[in-house]
Amino acid sequence: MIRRVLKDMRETWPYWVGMIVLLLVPITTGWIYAESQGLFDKALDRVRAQVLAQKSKPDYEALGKAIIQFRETWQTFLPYLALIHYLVFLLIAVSLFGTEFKHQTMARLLAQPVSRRRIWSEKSLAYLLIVSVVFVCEWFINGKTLFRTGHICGDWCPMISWVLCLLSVAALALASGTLTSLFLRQTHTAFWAALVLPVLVFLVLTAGDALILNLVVGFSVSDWILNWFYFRSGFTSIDLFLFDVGAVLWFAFVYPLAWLKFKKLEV
Amino acid sequence: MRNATETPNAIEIRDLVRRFGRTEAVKGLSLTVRPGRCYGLFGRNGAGKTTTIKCLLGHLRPTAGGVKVFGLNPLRHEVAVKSRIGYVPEVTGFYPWMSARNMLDYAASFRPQQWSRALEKDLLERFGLDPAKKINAMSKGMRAQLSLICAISAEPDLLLLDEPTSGLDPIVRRDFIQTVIGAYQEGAPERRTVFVSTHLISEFEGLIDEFTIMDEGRAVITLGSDAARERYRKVRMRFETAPPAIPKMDGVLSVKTDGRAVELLTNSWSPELESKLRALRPEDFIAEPLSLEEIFVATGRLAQSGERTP
Repeated sequence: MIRRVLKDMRETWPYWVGMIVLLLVPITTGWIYAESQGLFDKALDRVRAQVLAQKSKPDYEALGKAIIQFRETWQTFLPYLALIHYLVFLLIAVSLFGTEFKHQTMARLLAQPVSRRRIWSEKSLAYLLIVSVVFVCEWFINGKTLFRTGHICGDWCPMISWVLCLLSVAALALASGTLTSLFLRQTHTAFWAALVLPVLVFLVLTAGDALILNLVVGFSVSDWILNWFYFRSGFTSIDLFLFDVGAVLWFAFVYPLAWLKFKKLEV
Repeated sequence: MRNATETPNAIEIRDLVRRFGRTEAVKGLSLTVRPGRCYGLFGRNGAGKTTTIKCLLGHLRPTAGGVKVFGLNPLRHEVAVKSRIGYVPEVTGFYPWMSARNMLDYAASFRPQQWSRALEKDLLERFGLDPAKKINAMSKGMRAQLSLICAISAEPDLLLLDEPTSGLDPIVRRDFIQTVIGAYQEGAPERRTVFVSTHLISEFEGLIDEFTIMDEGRAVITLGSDAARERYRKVRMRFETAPPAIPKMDGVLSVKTDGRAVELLTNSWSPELESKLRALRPEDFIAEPLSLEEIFVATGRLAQSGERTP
């Protein structure tokens, strides 16, 4: 089993190793540079000064909110990170079965004396391991930068939010990627179909209200949690909430559908 | 009813029908392969051979009828059936980044208990394949050899070969097949069954015990090779003068006249037929058995003309 799981990991290594290198290194170095130049402190000072200048008596509640808003302003780049994660995870998910069709090895694979459930489990395990490796690398590198600075992830709520976000992104990519690669029996079109399909569904569900960022449907799950923690009294992100429901429904519907497709697959 | 202790047939196909949309690829095929036999499924491209093999593997679901492998339904008992099958697909797809060694280890990982490293080594040596060689640097012939090693090293009870030699160099083909089937059946010939589908029949001459010729999804004929050679004859007659009109006789598939020579194909060779032909008083009379390929061509023509072979 280990050999087969490693084979699936090896099959997709350019994607995930590339992701670790291309995504994390520039962000990390950018963050280290910003930190070394004291850019975060300066920005925070400006926020503090603005709040203090507005009132003779400091309003600590307003100051607190301003700082939180500042952190969230920085967090606006997180959706783009999530988007990149989604794209790479999708490439990996599509490759799990797509490359078997691409190399014309699906018939050989299905002729081996293991059940389809086992093949499915081993491929899912390979994906889980790849995602874990990416997360561990990311956690390690971010631990040296983002979390240490305390500017973005100074407390546990945003951290949980970010982890949940990436987990849901990974799960959604797995569901969409496997389904489209099994239906379309290759990788390239399957990738684009998996990318567009959720958008089309959300466009229909929200009557045209969805944005391109809704590609990262998983992001809304964690964002809803974040908002709930910070703005318990004034939660207004009803759209995000709708997307959360959509994201959960999407995974719950698509992943079992992909399994059924594989179970009945004829080659 | 079969006795409980009796060995089940290696393959049992009953009234198999498989449709793809409106196209009927297999139309009521029935055949039985006993263990230890080398069985040929012959037919032109599109005759339904690959579809039949895929039904045996459970890769395709029969639209009607049924298949059993060692008495088991491959859809219900997928692991039990596949653990006894070695399969060489028509398209020898591999992971291009792997070496032959990687591929063999990968294939062995599915059957660690069954895999014979000794047989694997022996076959690598017989074919002269370098295990360190990358698959993307291999020729088509080398890939076909690797595919066969992957199937045979697991020492399966049933070897399913789907067009194993198509695309190979004609000089290599015959040696290749005889090496493979020889190596496979060396171990336990009474137990090891070969089921080969091909339209390149001449390579399997002398190896096939029994065969079915398919055309347009139907079995045109099923015969043992010896019986086929007995029944199918090519008769060459030469006459002193212009040959007489050959009377219509049962079992005569075709008559060709070329000057004073007459060539006749029959699928019902018998002493009676021989007497009738000799009664025409040819100066030369030669009756020789047809090769499997000639039988295939003759039955193919017959099937095209809409006649059924007895």
